[in-house]
Amino acid sequence: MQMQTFKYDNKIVKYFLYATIFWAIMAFTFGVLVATLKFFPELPDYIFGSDDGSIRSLFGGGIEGLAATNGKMGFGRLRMIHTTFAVFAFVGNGFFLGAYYSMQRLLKTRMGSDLMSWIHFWGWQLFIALSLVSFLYGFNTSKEYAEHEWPLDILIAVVWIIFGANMLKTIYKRRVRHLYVAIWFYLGTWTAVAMLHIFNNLEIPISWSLAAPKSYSLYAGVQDALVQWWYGHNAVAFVLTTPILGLMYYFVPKAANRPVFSYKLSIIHFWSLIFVYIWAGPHHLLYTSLPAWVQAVGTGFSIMLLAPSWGGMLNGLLTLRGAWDRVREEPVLKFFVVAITCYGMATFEGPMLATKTLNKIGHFTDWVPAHVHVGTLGWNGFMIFGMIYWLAPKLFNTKLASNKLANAHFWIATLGILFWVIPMYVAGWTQGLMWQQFNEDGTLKYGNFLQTVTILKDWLYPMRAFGGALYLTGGVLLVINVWRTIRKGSYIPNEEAEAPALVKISSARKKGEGAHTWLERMPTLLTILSFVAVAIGGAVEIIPTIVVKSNVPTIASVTPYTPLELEGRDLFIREGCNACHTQMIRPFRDEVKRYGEYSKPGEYVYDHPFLWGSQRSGPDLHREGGKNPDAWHYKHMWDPRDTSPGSIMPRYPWLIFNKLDRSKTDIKMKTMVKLGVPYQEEDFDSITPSMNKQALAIEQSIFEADSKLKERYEKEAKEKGDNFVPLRDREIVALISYLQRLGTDISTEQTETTTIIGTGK
Amino acid sequence: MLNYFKEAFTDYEHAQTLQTISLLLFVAFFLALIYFIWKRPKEYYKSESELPLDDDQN
Repeated sequence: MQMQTFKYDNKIVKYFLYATIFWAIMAFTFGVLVATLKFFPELPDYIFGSDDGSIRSLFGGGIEGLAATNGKMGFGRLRMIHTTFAVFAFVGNGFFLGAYYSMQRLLKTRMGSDLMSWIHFWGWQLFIALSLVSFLYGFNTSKEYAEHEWPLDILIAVVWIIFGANMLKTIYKRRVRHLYVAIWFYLGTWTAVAMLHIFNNLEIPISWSLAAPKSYSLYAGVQDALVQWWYGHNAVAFVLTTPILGLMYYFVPKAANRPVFSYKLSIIHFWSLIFVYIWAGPHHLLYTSLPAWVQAVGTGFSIMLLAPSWGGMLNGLLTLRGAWDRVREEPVLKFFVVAITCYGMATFEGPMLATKTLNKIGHFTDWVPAHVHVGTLGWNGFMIFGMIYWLAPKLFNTKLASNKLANAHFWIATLGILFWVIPMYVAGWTQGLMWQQFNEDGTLKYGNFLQTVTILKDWLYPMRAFGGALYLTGGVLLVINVWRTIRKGSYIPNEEAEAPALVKISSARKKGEGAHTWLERMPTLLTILSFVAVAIGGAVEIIPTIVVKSNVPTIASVTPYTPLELEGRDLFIREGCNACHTQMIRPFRDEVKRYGEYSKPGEYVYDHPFLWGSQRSGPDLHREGGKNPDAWHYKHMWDPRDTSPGSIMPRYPWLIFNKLDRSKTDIKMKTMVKLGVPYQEEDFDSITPSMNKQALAIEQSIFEADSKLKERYEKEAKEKGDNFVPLRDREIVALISYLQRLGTDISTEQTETTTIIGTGK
Repeated sequence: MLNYFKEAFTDYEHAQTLQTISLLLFVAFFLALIYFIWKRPKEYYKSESELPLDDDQN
């Protein structure tokens, strides 16, 4: 047979290697930063300035310094930067690194198109860099792991499609008949992420402005929540699991120098995993206003997921059979063993957390992030570290600079995981159980929500940040080791290889050829079938929830937000308040006692997007309306520790200084009308008077409660003259109007007399 | 387009049929998977699983 020579593209692999390492350090650094803010909320004050005499800020500035940041160091914004860095930048680039290396070699060809490879590389880095900038400036859609505004969503989609086209092009010019299972995982990942990304990010921009992008989700309330967590859960499945499994099926056999334990099992693993995973999303919404049947389906399928996940884990671990002696010396294998073990732990824990019993305790607490961190940093992180330690020497034709250093990284990072995971588990259980405690007289034992937070910040949160710092230290050792390896090695951008040409055969199924064997040489069909496998679960849950009206009974007394409240809601989104505050009261005795009447699906029909949140570092806000006076909210935003001693909430002085931008209220409402929110002609005519009236009432109520504040504003008015912005025109007032509106559409008395319209037809 | 199928979903009479079909499809999926896996020759698995190991010279 004729031998052909060709060249592997090592340059793109090298670039993805650098990107992976760079973003790893960034993700870990931001992780440590947000973990620190959880027990040291005054950190921004110490850096930028404060009016508190006991705080000496770095630059000696006053509160104006902090206000001038406009929230760039707010927890809500930094958290989404951290998650984007960890999920898309670190793990994303790590997947591309492994995929670009392994695909060329598994298919014995260069990547389909160099141009597409480079567009993919730079497009992806651009997306991450722009995410950083846009999140810092408060442009986000609030939907977890999909906070990117519409221009970035388009960029992601385009880059992703180019990546897929490049993969398929590579596959078509391959010199190997069959596709190895790792490549199925890559293709499955590509199909599923494309579907999830597009459907979850369907949104209408209020304008085409790229400088200040703003959009509203196509779905509202319950439906938005379902689509979001169908996406959110499957981002875990198809960004953090299937691509890494593809890497596992290639790099573990490589490093152990023996074939995978059972190839049969890997096929079962692939198909059952992608088929079952997609159904499990609703377990993020147990006990919420989501229709019960969807919740039940989510739980059922989550438990079923245990089977394929553990099948895959065992397949990975057993690949090392007969090589265990090498695990002791070889840092690469050590990383792989812990990674696969973490995969097993996380996929055992996931189904457990998806049961209603444990979900009741764990949901909204630190238990969930603990679980995610085992997955992302234990399973994905260690898999990627192991891969880098194996791949970097190969790429630079040398040996790893220091096995000792790699071993040190391994131990420090393992300890780091323990140091943050254990405190997070304990914090989760502590908080979850404290919420539920009652006194004998029927009152809540910890009636003040703060008690369940202050107990966590003394030891558990600092320990967690320390664990993160250890993990980051490990990352620094990786940088040093890889850098030293590169220095002593030499790298060939285009590595020569040769393989026999692939004889063209008909795409028709040969006589006596097994159906799946045939399927594997038909990449397009394989991709389509994986799409069908992932689409079924989504379709069964989502289509009925969206088209069946009776799933979300309409409540007559629920009306759209007023213009001022709508602006306040957008401020809530801008600051990322939903990172710590939920808006979903579950139907439990303790929650109803603590927050008020449990949340009804019909209350969210105008919520584009939904803001249920996923964690309670602060109390639920769904019945916040009317609970505290306007002046309390004013003071609370100025300094949360003034009204709530020991609070871990950041300060928001810029909300009090900034003038509310009303220029877009009109188009925001028009966009809402397009989405089905029934604003009437007269609502548009009266935008300004309505806003003025509502704002004035809030200003008056604040001044009535605090006459000193009134004097201060009057003084400021005299000093500033024409430049003075009255309190009623500032952002804080819009935010207060929104907070005071929350959950007031129905009250317990009213609910009984409310007519429920819509009977299911 | 969705509206066209809406009746089939919203109608409670169809609910049972839909559920039964879903269950059968679900079971069929795994039966088909197992069937395909069993039917394939041993050598296939051997050669496939060795793909990563003989893929390059370095």
